[in-house]
Amino acid sequence: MTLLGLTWRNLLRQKRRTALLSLVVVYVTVAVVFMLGFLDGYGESLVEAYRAYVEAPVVVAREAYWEDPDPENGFPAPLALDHPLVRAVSPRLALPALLRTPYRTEGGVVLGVDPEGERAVSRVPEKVAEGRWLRAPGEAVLGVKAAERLDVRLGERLVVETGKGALGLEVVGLVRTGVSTVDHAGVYVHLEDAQALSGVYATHLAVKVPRGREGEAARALNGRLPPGVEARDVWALMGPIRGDYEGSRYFLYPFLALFVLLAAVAVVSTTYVSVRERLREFAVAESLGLAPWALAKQVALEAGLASGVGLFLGLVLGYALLAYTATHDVFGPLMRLSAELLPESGLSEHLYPAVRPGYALVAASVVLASSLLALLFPARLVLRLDLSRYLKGA
Amino acid sequence: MKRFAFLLLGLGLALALTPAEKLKRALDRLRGPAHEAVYLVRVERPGSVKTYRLLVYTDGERAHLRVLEPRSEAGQAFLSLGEDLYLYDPRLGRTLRLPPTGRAERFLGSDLTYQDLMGRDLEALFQVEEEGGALVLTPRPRAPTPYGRVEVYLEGELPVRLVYYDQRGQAVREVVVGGYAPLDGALLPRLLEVKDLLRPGYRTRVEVLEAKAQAVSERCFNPLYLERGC
Amino acid sequence: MLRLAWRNLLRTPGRSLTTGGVVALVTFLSVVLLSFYAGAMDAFFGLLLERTGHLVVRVEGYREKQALEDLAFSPPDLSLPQGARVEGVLEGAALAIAGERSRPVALTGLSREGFSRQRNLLKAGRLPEASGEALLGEALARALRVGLGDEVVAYAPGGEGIGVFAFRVVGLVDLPESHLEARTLLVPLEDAQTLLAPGRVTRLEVRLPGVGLYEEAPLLALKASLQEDLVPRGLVVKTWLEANPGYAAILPLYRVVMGVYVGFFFLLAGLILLNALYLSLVERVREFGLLSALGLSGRGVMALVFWESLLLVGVFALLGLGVGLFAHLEMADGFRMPLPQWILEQYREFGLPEVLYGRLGLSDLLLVLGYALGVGVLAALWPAWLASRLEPVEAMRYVP
Repeated sequence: MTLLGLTWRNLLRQKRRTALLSLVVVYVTVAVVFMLGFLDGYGESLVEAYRAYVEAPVVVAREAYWEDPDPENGFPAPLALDHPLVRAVSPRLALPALLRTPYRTEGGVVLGVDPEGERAVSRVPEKVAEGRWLRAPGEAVLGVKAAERLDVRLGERLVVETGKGALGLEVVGLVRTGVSTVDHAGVYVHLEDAQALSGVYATHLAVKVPRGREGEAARALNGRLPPGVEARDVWALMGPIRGDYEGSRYFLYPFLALFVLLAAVAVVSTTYVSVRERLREFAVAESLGLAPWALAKQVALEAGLASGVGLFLGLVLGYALLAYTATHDVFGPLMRLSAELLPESGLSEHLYPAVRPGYALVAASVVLASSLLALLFPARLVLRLDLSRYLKGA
Repeated sequence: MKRFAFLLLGLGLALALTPAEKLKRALDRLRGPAHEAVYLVRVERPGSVKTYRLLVYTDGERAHLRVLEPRSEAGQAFLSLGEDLYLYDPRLGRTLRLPPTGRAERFLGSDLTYQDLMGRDLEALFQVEEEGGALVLTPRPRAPTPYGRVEVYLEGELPVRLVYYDQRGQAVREVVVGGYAPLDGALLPRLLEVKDLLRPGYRTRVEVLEAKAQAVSERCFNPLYLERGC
Repeated sequence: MLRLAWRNLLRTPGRSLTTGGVVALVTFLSVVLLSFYAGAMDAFFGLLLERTGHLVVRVEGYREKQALEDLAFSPPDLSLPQGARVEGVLEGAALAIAGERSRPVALTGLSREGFSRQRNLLKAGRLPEASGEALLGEALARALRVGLGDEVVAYAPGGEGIGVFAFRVVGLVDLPESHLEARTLLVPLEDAQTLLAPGRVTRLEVRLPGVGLYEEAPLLALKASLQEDLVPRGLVVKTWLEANPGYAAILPLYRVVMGVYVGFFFLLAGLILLNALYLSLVERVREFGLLSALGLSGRGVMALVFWESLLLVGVFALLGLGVGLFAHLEMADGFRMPLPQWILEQYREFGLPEVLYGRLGLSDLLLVLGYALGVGVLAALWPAWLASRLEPVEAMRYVP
């Protein structure tokens, strides 16, 4: 019988205690898997919101524009971007303007875009709730809440005015993206209209790059861009909400480590008792020639395997929980409340936890921790075995 | 007999103006000839009335306005040159150029806008149809106006009433013009009343006093002369 | 019984210490967590209260109204208790013009006290002391390309005031929320009134001395007495929480969320305790059998197990509580979140200051002790039941 099989049989012999310690390990595993998934989901929702709705995966603009986001610091002419990571580029013109309806006059920022080019770099065009996306100059598309606030309806004219002139644009579509910034403040117009109102070609370029490689792409582009032009990736573009996300990570990891440690403690204390009960067995084995270290390793294996049972169950449960919350909008109400309190933070109305195999590895550290702790404590019992004491009695 | 018929026909043809031409003439009448005058502007609100006395120099397109009364605001001057708007305030001590966003705002807190007093926005931004004797203006494509429709009621060639509608068919503003009196061979309306239809009790009356028809010196339309007048 | 339980615990010092250690740790962490979060909440709401004032007087229906003339009112005299202060604030939209550049701003006219509250937001220069001086948000100053000593003209036509006013920039403020900063122009109240609406304000802020952060009763009482006077004038009085309903919604939620967090910790401790109690049972099966044979009833056996559990939890929970309280006292003096500086700055954008003060209430302590007690009882349930079901004879002969 293999060592593993032997160990397994030992565990099965004590079903109850194995079950009890498994409870602890299951709980901790589910907590680890779920919290990691939740946090990653939070990060992903932020990245997705900024990548696909509020900004773009990578944004290229003149350094002067990053310093002072005024159209006069924009690009006077198109700029070509060439790099294998660049999947699509579309120019944008962010224009501070006065928005006027018969009932309301309000200052805001209008985004001039190339309707077709925008489809390649942003998901906003897909989220038209009423009407349609832009097609030609003379049209405007608003976020649903922005339209409500300005009191303008589909088909009505919105006057957009800047220092350089004014235009009456027909509202052809309303978008509902679920991202607070866009829904509350988004006003999209045709690039040509924005150009007419500002006198520049564009203020920045939206660049689409593969997911997860935004930082890499930004660095690569920065190496190739002409002087005075800088590329920034989505993380740099995120507002202060990024701090909340990173801060949460800082807090979470120590806690999860603590949980794992405590679970290992539970496993090991059970192993300790089990070993103490079987010291005579170990003594016999040792007297038959098995090296004490081999026995110690068996103890460690037992602890590891015991925690492994809980790990396995915990992973099944944890991933099931993740799978459920990743497909059902469980955190919607929480996100909506947060988005209402911080409408310009870029929070989405949904949070779907991420489901990644890597969590299993992190959770599996409980097995490692248990085995190591077992070497430190119960195994010492075996190592310090005084054979004579155990072999004397019948 | 035949000659008379031809004369009548000729006159009839001459009088059959297109709506656009009618609008143009109506605006000509509304603006009157270039003149210098004193305007009395009475701003009515629920529970209060404020009266301004202004000295106005205008050529129908551009206008130079100076506040004479009330004493607390005397000395302010405005210069509207189409796109540009300049303001002089004695408390500021200098002339300020305002962005076009300043133009459509209420003038002196009244219900008047600069477009009511000068300029030909109605021609520039709207296309005209005739309906039942009145001119119906609808915005040209992409015209930067928040209104959906303007109805201009004429008596002969003279506009006597303008009603502004929002884009949902609701009347939001009414301008009544009257008191057309001759001035140097042309007619100038002496009374203008603007009513905010969305807010009961909000009304502004303009009365033109002491009008003198004369070409206005170019100096008056120079921002440098805003401070000391022309 | 108690002594027996105590001795039993001492017989396995390793395990008792370990399990007790877990309980103490969990208790300690819970206390620290509660203190920390309470501190953060207090800071957050404290800032809100500071900005809003205890009570706010505004025009009725102010949420729907937009035009300044509908929102501004002549401040009536308020009959207030001793020590209470009233400040008027006038807010209106204006265009800030500097040379060729202009930006729409929310112009706010503040009284002297109102300005002194902005002191810790001042990044450069000083607070306005005389008419014609103004504070700009840093982002606004950048957009207009002005600095200290430069001039900015506020243009707000269409009101009852003169509609235009020149200011000199004497200070720059760094607001926590940067999008607000780009639209912030703070001027003396009298200047704002001259510009927009002479003699009028858009809100009155009432501040009472000595009222606790979450104390509502004195506010509601004062609100009721003021309303008699003010409602006939078309004004409404709101407490600061009523005036910020979104934030007010967080408060009850917070209690629940804290209860859940602490619950998660204690659940872990409970499961570990359960393990420990079971193991201790397993090790002493023979003993229990003996005790049973000697006449200890089933109930007595259960009681023994319960006492062991409660004793263990009790001693170590109190220990953890003690250490936690000590940590809390340190935190109550002021602490910084142990995060990198750049993250702290981002949190400032949300209105959370860098230095927080821990707070612990009786209800927090009761929560923790309650959980400890609950865990002590619940974890012992099953092992106690098992122990009571032991057959004395079989138990005495038990071989593991």
